Amino acid sequence: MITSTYVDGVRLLTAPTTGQARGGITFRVGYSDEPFQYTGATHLVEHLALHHLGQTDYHFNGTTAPYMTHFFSQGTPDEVTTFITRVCQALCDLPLDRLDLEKQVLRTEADGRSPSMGEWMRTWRHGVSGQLSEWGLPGMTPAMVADWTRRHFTRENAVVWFAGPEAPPSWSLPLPSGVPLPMPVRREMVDAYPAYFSQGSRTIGWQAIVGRSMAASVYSDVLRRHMFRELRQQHGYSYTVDTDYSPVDAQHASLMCLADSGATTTDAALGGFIDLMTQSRWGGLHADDVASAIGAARRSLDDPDWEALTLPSGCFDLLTGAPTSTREELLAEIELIDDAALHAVAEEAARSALLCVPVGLRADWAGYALAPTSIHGPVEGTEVAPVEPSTQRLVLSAQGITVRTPPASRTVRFDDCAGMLAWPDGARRLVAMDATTIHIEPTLWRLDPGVRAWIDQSIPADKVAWQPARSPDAIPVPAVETVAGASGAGATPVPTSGTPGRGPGTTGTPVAPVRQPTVMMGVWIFLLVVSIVWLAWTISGWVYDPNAGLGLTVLGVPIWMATIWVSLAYRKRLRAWKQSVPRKPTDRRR
Amino acid sequence: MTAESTPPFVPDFDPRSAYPTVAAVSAAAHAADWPRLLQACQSAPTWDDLLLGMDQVSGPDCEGFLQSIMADQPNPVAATFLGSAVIMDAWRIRGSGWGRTVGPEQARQFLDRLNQADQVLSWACAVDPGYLPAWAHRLTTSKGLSLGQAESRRRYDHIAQIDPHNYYAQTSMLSILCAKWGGDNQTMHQFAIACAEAAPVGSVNPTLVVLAHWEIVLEMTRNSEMSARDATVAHFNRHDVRAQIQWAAHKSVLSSAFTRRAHWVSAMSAFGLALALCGDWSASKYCFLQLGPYANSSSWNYLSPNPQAGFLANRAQALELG
Repeated sequence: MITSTYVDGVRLLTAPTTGQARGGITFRVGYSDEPFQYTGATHLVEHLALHHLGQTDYHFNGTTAPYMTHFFSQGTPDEVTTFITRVCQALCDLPLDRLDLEKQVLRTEADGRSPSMGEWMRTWRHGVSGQLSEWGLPGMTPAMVADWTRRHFTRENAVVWFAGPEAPPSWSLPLPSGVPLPMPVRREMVDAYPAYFSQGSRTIGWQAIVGRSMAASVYSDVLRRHMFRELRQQHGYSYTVDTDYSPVDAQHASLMCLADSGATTTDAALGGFIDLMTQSRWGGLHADDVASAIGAARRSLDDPDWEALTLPSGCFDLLTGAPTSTREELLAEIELIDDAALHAVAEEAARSALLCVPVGLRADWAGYALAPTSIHGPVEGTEVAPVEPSTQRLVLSAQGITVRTPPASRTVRFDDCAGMLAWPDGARRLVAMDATTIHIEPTLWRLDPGVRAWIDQSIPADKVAWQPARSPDAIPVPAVETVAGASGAGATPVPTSGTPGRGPGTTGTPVAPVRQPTVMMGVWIFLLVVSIVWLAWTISGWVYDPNAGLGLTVLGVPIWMATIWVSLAYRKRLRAWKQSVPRKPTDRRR
Repeated sequence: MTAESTPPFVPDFDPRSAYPTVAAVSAAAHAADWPRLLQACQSAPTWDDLLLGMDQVSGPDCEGFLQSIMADQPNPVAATFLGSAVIMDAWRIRGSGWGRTVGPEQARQFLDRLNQADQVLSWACAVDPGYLPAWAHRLTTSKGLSLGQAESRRRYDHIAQIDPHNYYAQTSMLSILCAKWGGDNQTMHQFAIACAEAAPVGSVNPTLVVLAHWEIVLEMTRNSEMSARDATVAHFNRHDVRAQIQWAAHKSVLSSAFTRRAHWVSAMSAFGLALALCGDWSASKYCFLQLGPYANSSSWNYLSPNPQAGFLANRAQALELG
């Protein structure tokens, strides 16, 4: 039986279990709650809170999820309760002196991490809030970390759980008081379901958001059995097939299916997968699968450890405000599951189905609409050309910025911008709420220097995340560059039609295009020929008629001076041009 | 005294004449008579007969009729007829030329129609996974939508589980395996030989060997100056090709076990031409005579802008030399 009490004002759920004790503390804060400058703060706090524990003889861990941060331990009852107490103590006094070191650890962790299918799904569905991003880390100060911890790692925003052979000994949970954090409103970025997107090379993913129910959980298991038989056993298109049913808030759960595929059978795996989902929706479900899935659900409830096993999800329910169900209520719910109930789940799932297909494949043929990469249409404004010849254009407007790569385009509107990454060398990356990013490298675009200031003014300062300085070889150089390069020559002025205060107005007067080395060479050769001819003429003048020679010399001086001047200028520009020509591919490796 | 002249031979290219199922299905569909159409489908002796019948049901009237059936009483049979009709409309929009001859708007409409067709057909497959005609048409959509060789093979494998010798599906698969649809002619040729070897003696399936050789000839002329006629003569005069055609003919139309089932007119016509090209005029003559009044000119599509005239010319030549 699950008991609910309070310890030091923190809600505590306990249940008896045999074997080792387990326990943890869950806070209702995750990376989906972080404002732009605070991205990475929750994960950083989780790391800092566990730092002082060092290496122990018992198992412990921490996880940062979209809406929850969880600290977990397994060992003797004393070890578990001591762990939770020490986590709470650490949260009250984080070792902020090791902030930079822990940021480095997080960067290393991020470098080795690949985005999961769940993260892809959340990003396509809900935009940047679904992404595990740690853009704010470089600029995160000790005060910001302390502020984030003080606001969200509070006793009102936490639930502790403990499963052990006996009730937990008395313990203290020294957390500050605060306010419960409500669940964020998830914004829908896909306008029509079922939808699909292309990402990754081999894995097919499918996700739907359905109402929380035992029927949906059983349906997930039915799908897994169907997928295993169809995609792996019968045809061998997939090796790994899996499904997952996980609550995402008080009312809804995510229903996710995954199937990998072989290099030469990716299209067949996708076709088989889509047919399987169509058959599960419209055709009959295999009676054996249904019976086995219902049986498995029933057996999981019969597990004597069931209550202890459900404690972590009980914390999630309490923190999200979801109603909790007893074992008897869930058993009664299972008894009502039949083909009609499962088909109702399939129908509901189809209304929010999002499919991930490997890059190069499509799913429009199966009625899935292509999910928009950018929810906003392009803006109209001043066009900026890249330094390298290309049809791509940067369009600057008071409303936002578009990168147009015909026939596609990406847009970040300033009024729907999550934030901006800024590098000291002038590079900027705008991140829209729908997770569209536009990265602007000053070396690659013919930008007026005023544009950067105008962009900076268009984004509120609290949405700017400063990044560390880059080494010169990390800054891209165009493969083909004019002599003027990115110094402003040929640059496009910033838009002047913006609202007052947004753009710098008239800065960036267009400059006449600078002559290319080839043009200069023509001028130089012409002057050289004229100079030589004039010199020969002058010498012959001196030989035959000194008066004529003197006259020719006087007239020839400006010509020779001009030739010398152009020669020197040409030499200088030729040298600059040689430095800017593309290097061999082997030289470009970093 | 006037000489009594023989009336000119007028071949009947209409499949409704040769196949009773095709006639019944076509009549019922064009009369928008659903019970009669269902009855004709149920009376079809084989899946191949029914698929031949479905090929005769297309056009806006038929599509409208099938859509109304799907709205009132959705079922896999109506869905498959509808899918088939939409596929034919898609190909009407596309035309039969090489991909480079298809304009962007044509291509867009073609893909749109095929998407619609595949969705209605996949519904039929989901509701009744054993309904072969729906799967057979999904081979055509897979080809047109370029869903991939492995996906097409998956669909074909499903068909082969239901009917391992379905000629309609085998001809579709043969086409998908061609180089022009993203496959390679060696695999395509091997597929034809494998189907012919596995088929019962006296069946139409060895005709696939002839079709495979036509596809090879077509590929020979694709990027070369060689004319279709020169390439045909050069290819069919090869010793190994002649031997293969003879082997296939003896397993099929020249076998005493050959019966007049679905596709027999196509098989007999295809072998009539192929055997003539191989120089076996007597066997060719036998095929043309066996056809009686019936004819199928699809093999002549490879040779002549007027395939029916080509059929008549080759028939006359075979009757004279054979």
